[in-house]
Amino acid sequence: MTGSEFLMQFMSGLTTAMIYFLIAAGLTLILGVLKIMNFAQGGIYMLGAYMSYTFIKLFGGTNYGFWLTLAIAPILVTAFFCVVEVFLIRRFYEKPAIYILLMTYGVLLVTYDLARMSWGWIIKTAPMPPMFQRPFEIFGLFFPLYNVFLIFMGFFIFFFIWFIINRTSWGKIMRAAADDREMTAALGINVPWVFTAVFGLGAWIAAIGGALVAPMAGLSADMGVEAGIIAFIVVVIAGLGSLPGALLASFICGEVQAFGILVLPELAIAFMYLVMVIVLIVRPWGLFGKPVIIK
Amino acid sequence: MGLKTKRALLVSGIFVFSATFALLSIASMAAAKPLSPIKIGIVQSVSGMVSDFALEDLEGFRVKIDEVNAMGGVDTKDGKRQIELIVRDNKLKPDIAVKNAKSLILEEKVDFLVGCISSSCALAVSEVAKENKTLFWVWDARTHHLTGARGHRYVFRSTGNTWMNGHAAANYFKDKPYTRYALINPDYSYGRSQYDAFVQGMKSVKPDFKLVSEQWPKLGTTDFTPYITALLSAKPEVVYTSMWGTDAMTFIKQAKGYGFFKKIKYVGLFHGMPLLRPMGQEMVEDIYVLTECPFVYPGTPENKAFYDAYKARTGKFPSSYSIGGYNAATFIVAGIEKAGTVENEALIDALEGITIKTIAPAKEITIRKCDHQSDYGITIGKTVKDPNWPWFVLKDVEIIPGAPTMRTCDQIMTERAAENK
Repeated sequence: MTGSEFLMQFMSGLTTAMIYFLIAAGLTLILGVLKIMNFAQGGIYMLGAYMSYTFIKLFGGTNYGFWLTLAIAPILVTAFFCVVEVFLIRRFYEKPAIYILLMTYGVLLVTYDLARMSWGWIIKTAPMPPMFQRPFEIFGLFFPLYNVFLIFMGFFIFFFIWFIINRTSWGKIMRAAADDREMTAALGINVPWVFTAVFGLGAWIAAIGGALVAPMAGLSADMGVEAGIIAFIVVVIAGLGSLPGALLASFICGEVQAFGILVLPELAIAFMYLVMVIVLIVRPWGLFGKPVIIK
Repeated sequence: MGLKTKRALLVSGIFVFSATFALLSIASMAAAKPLSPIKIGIVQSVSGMVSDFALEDLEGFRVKIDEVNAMGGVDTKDGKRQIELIVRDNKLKPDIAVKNAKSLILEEKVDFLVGCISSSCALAVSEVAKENKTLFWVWDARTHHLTGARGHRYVFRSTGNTWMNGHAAANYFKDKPYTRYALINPDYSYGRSQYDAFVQGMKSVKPDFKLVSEQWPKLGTTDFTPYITALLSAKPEVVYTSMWGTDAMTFIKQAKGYGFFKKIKYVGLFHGMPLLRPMGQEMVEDIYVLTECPFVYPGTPENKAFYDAYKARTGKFPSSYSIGGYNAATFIVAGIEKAGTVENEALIDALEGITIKTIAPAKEITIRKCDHQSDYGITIGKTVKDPNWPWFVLKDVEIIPGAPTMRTCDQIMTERAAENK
């Protein structure tokens, strides 16, 4: 393998990693703060993709239409799921975990049928914005500009979320609420609304992930199920609730996938699971997780 | 509303109903006694992941049946009989398909069965048909086992199969100067059999065939970039694929950014209307497309009549699925007219070796007597932008005849004997 082929494969792995990260980051955020496993995350991602498809088409596939879509579509999807949180999911935070699993899984099924009813069964794809229809040149290699944009967006969203959580007062409240709900509530903070906001932020990440994937992939209602599995694996590898962990886990999965298929193409569907198995054997609590001590 | 008024309404309702019924019976008795309709049971996945395609093929089937019914029905020994279709949805699950097939045979007393878009459904229903000695006609499921190792007297297929697809593609590339090939197929049974068929086909017709890379992405992959760069690094001249649906769409969109299609000849099996239509202007020019019936081809009057009838019925354009359905119905009607009855044994004898004219590019197709497999050819063409349509169409369309791609009757019989041992 030549150096340039190696670089190409590395960049491909990075693109995959960023898609994995965008799918998983929302899940890990919600898991970290709300301590719930949100199965609906894949459905949010799928609706984000479909919603962007509609808006990109509406704006005639233009450049500025694409930027507008990125701003509008994920917000709309987020608003919808905030309502879902307020009316449905919120009721189950204090109940045994199984209720929330069933509830969010139910929401996933509903989003699936919602997409089917609104957009039909025929597969869809949003047009690629004209500004991205040219390659990006690096060391004499050509790489699709959109993939470069996607990688940039992945990092941008990571820093954005990281900044909110660690460097703002709002993030401080979130962390406090995650550690001790009662104490935070006693300090006069409306904890249920903090949770809604966190859920909304998690939903927004998934929705923008879907929106970013819309111009580069075919869309079907079942893309959410696949995304849900990916998100789950990444979060398990990362350590439940760790955002930097999710970034690292996505990176490992993406690159293992990219270089793995060069050596053992037959195992393409297994690489992600292999990474998960190895991590679970060596560090059962995940890369960035903390060991759980059962008292 | 009082009880009395309710009762009065009920009584008068019953009276009106019986009067109408009596009048109708008299009217029908006055005319010649109509024959009972022929009942066809359809086992199909009209909901679920592939329901779009299933509905398209069902509509194609219905267009033919409507045509026949509008002419008074199909000619039998006893006179003209109408055809009635009873559809049961199996939601893409073979176990439900089996249940539906049994209930159609035993409760609805259908004359025979048709349908099944997925191979698992077709193989399962085929067993039911064998047990109940009921004819089962398939046109969408493509596994070559259906009419191969696991074939029997009661199952027929009027389209090609995985084996024929791969060998047809191989026959096309036999005399082309390319030697370096790469394959990318979805990692499940369909992708595996298409891989085997193509590789075996190439090995048998092209001694200098070289497989430089094979890729097995998961069905439903969102990101193909590592596969694309891996294929590019292997420097093949031709990439052959049986990916379909979102997989094919995603692959093409992502590969476009790498200039993939300028460097490599990409050959997509069944990349016809089901892919060209949703991709619209996002498609790439000069992709090789294998399809059983390309759009706007060959423009014969019969072909146009079908397109118009289908458009009038559904408001959409037909795809190769709909044409498959139309051809299947044409076969069945021709068989009934030849046999003069729907009594299954006589009908099967009539259908063995039957030839029909089709609206597809393969002008005539024949059901082979020994294995009940049709010799439906496939076409290959290159995508091109057409100002008349919102999607890409095919140019330089060539027909690859089906008959030379079939296994011989002896091979099939040996396989069946081994299977039944």
